[in-house]
This record gives sequence, C-alpha cells and structure tokens, in this order.
Amino acid sequence: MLKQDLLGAHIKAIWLAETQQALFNSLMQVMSRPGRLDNWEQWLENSPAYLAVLATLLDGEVSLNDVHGLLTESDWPMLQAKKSEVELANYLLCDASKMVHIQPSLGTLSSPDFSATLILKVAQLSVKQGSMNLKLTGPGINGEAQVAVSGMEQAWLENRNGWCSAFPLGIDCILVDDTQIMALPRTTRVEILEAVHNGENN
Amino acid sequence: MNNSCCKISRSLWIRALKLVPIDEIKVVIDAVIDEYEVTYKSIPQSGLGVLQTKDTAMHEPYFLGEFPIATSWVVLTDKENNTYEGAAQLMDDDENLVSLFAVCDAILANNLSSCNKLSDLVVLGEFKFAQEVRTRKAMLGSTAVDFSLLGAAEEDKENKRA
Repeated sequence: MLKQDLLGAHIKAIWLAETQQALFNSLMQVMSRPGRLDNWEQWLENSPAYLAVLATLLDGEVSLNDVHGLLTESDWPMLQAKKSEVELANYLLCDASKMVHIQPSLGTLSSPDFSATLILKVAQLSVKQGSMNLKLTGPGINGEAQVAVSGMEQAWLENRNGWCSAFPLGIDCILVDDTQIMALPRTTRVEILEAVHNGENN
Repeated sequence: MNNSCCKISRSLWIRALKLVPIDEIKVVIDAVIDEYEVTYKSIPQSGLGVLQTKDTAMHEPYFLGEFPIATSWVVLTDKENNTYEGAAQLMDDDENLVSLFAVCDAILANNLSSCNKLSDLVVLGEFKFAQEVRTRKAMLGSTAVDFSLLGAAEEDKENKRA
C-alpha cells in the first residue's frame, strides 16, 4: 500500500478496503445461506473475527454497544462508530458465553431495518459437534441445516427466538468464533436439538 | 500547554502548509520519519463532504454541494516508547497527503526534531496566504459597484421630468 511506502506505517488487513470488500461479500453469502460457515483466517492476521465483522460493517454513521467490553479503547477510533445505549444501538457486540438481560432494538413495522444486529462471540462453530446442536430452517436453507455451537448460553437463542417472533420485527445475529463466521437472520427458525451442560444432555 | 516551536496558531498550520511546495515538506519529513514508528489512530480516509445550510427565504435546510475531504490521525512512537499524536483534515482527495500533514501536525505540536524547519514552512505558507488574501481583496475592490449612484441617477431623471 502507498501509505505504508510513504510513512512506513502498517495497517492490519481488516482495515483495508479490499479486505473489507471481500469480507462483506462473505457476510452477504452467510446471511443468504444461514448455517453456512465461512472461514476468515486468511484475512485476520491475528485480529479477532468479531473485530473484522465490525470493521466491515461499521462507519461513523452507526452506533455500537460493546456489551461485554470485548473491544479495546484503540479499536473505537478505528471503527468510528458512535457509542450508544443497548436499546438504541444499531450493532451490539456480546460474549455469547455470558447471558445478560438486554432489550435490543427490534425496528418498527414501517422500518424493520432500524433493528439491531447482534455480533455474538462464541467459542467454536462447527457443522459436526459442539455443546449445542441447532436445526435451522427457513429462507436460504434447502430443507434444514444443522450446526453445532460451543461456548454459547442457551438463553441467547431462546431470547433471540422471542425477539424474532413478530416478523418483520426482530434482530439479525452474526456468530463468530476465532476465525469462522455464521449468520442467523431473523427469518431463520432455530431449534435447539441438543444442549450439553457440564457433560449432561438437556 | 503549548510547547510548540511554531508561534502561529495550530488551527492555521495545515492551511499554511498546503500553500508550500509539497516537495519541501517531504524533504523535512523524510529526514526525521525513521526516528519514529508511525501508526494510525484511525484509518486515513478520503471522500466527499456536504455542508448543510438554510435558505434565507423559507429557512429550509439544503446542501451547498459536495467537496472532497480527507482525514488522518497518526501516532508517532519514538525509541523510548514516547507517543505523539497529530491529525489533519484537508479539502483534498489524497490520503497520503493528509497523512503527511498529520505527521507535520504531530511534529509541530510536540516540538519534535525538525520542528523549526517545519515552523519556517508554516510561516512561509501564512505569508503566501496573506498575499493571496491581498490579491483577492484588490480584485474585489476593482470590480466593486456602488449601487447608491443608481439611486441618485433615478432621482435626477425624475427631477428633470418634473
């Protein structure tokens, strides 16, 4: 990059326009195909995947609430997003292993797009096995899809199903682990097939 | 506390430097930039800005139009791990140029090495700006129309008719 040539400064890949265009394409793909897992490892350069999602989606016109303090102070000027209350934020960043009682914006009937998008950090996403197996059905899914999620409180999904029960109101979720990403748009029906807590099946 | 070597107000530095040949600024920066690690506090960006104002008749807001704008916010870290911040905002579409000016801002604001050389360039730029202002005023003055004479001419005509 010319900027690096001129001042010798290094900018991580997730902040570069060409990377963000590729990641945005990937985000559109996973949003269109719920249950699909995309691996972003080649783009991350040790950056957390949730930061890459935020870098791709946010600008100075939108607001963010970092519910569990996953971001560092130096991330905020890079993201440029405004800090906001949970109820008003366009984007919420949460650690899915910790449940908190929040009420995200669900939009309005005339503008359901004014709802919040939740970025949920989980321990692991997999198509094979995890501590919680999910069955997904709905638009963008051929029949049904099964995914396994580890490091996520079951209550998040129960709340999510409640928030999305009055379509078109609702929220969209983006699940990320260290390198992978998956989306649960509001149109997706999520059924918890099996949840393992401390070795016990529920 | 202002510890800059430059006596001109900080808000005027970038305006002044914009009027100095860019190669002269690059020579100064190239000589000192290796002493620091440059990182960005926010990503340098360029794009279009809009300025909203109100029309005087209906007091309704409207946009005056678009203008190019570029911003940069840098952090210089020296060998002793001291950090110095600088930023710049330009009506231009060149991110490299605005980053260069952000480095100049950091050097001038924190009195770093080559501050005096940059300060001289700022003084030169301000001198050029004052010259431009004088030239514009002179041009405006030469095209000024005294509308009060029109009123006097109308009165003369009416007096003659009477």
